[in-house]
Amino acid sequence: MNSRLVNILIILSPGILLAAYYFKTRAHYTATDQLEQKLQGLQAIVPTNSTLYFNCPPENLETYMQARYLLAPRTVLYTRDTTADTIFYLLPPTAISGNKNIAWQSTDSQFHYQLIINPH
Amino acid sequence: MQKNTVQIIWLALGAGYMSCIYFLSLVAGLPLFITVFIVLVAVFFLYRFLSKNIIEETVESPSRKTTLVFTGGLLLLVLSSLLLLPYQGDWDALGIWNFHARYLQQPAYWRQLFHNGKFSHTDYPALLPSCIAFLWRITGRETELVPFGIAALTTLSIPVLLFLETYRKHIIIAALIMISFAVNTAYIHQGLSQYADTLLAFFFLGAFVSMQHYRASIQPTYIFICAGMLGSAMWTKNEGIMLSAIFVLFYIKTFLSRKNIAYTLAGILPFVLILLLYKSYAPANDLVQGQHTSTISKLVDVTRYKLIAEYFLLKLNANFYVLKIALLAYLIYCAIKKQLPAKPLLLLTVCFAGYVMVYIVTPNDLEWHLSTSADRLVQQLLPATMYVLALEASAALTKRRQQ
Repeated sequence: MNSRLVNILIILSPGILLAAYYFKTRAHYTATDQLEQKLQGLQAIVPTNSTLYFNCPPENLETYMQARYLLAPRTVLYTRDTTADTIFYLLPPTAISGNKNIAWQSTDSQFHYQLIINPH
Repeated sequence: MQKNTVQIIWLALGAGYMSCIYFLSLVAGLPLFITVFIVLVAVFFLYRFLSKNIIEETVESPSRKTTLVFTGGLLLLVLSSLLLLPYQGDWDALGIWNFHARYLQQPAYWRQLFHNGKFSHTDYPALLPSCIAFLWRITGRETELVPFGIAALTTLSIPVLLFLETYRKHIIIAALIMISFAVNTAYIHQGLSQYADTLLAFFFLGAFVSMQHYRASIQPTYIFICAGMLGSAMWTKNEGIMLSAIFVLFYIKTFLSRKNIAYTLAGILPFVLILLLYKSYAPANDLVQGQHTSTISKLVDVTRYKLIAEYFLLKLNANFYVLKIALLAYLIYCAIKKQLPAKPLLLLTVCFAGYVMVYIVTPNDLEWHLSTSADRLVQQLLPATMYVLALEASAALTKRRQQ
């Protein structure tokens, strides 16, 4: 096999796929992108070495995975316990929560975001 | 081995060493520039060692027809990949592999990865996340192009390696393999999903390829490559530990012979030690931890076996029918010739039986476990199985032609 030709093809082929992926990704604004934008506010106030509890009624594992990914290297643990010390809530956008001790909150078309710090 | 094959093997082993060195540098707290220097030195000497010992300079030039078939096959593969191109990684990419990489790129916080509980699978080996994290740090940007680039390179390299390793034996078989991968949407989808299964499949294929070369040349450098490939497979996924253990057991005499043992240890030991180091931080595997007395009753429950068989048949029929047809044809050939299937195929059968046993004793809901992983397990064994079948078919056809 012509070694040089094979090398060129082997380098060129993933290069084509990479370029195509780059443009395709840029053209798609995903739910993760929206969440990423929103979580920048939260990232600014939550230290990198902290642990948060995550609560998203009704249970939404996909969003938990996305939030956990975006907030890493912070530890984000799924919980239904509303008394945990620091809880990051993702509520429906129109929900009115009775939560107190709100450290940070924001809303967009996907969710109403709240960071609650329960005093112990 | 021809130069192109050696380069692909070097790239794969280089990625394995790169991830080991990077993980070790995290543990040791080394600055990035030192890690980069060590990686560069390691891959440079690896290439020199491989090229000095195993590149065959006397490989005859292929015909124009062969080059044309290769180019056409690769073009078809790229076109299929473009048609199936995702715009983001699949579920496990976000939930496991790239997620782990986000921690591993943080020298000060990487240990926090192991604070994660449910759904994070922090016991999974870290070859892929370490590679991603290292490249993210070098590029200074956490871009999804890095995991996608690794996935694309792996997905394309498997058919290319299979072609390069079979075209001199039988060009039609080599072309058929290339085409069968190019039109296999399940393979391409899995490959581009940014999961670690295709990477594991590639390392496992590499082990078969190098063992085949060893048997033809008795050159111990191939044992080093084979052991390195198995080590990389172990460091890629937990399934890789099982696959590598079975492979080593099948060729235990070869690996442990006086002539080869130093090469075996040099190839596999760095990966085993890194894996042990990683596992010392990680929690126990959920499948292992979930075992208790009900395991015995699961082992004798016929319905579980039936469900597993149904699922795999379904996956073979839906996504891997070329593999099914090739396997059936080979088994019929063996029956007609009254011979046992080749040793590598028996090895792959034992690997498959190992998967079945994991499903039998799984603490998870069996149907859920099968639905989320059966096709990925077929993907892990697909390239090696196609390689073994291609060798057998080439040998049979050549023998027939000579008669």
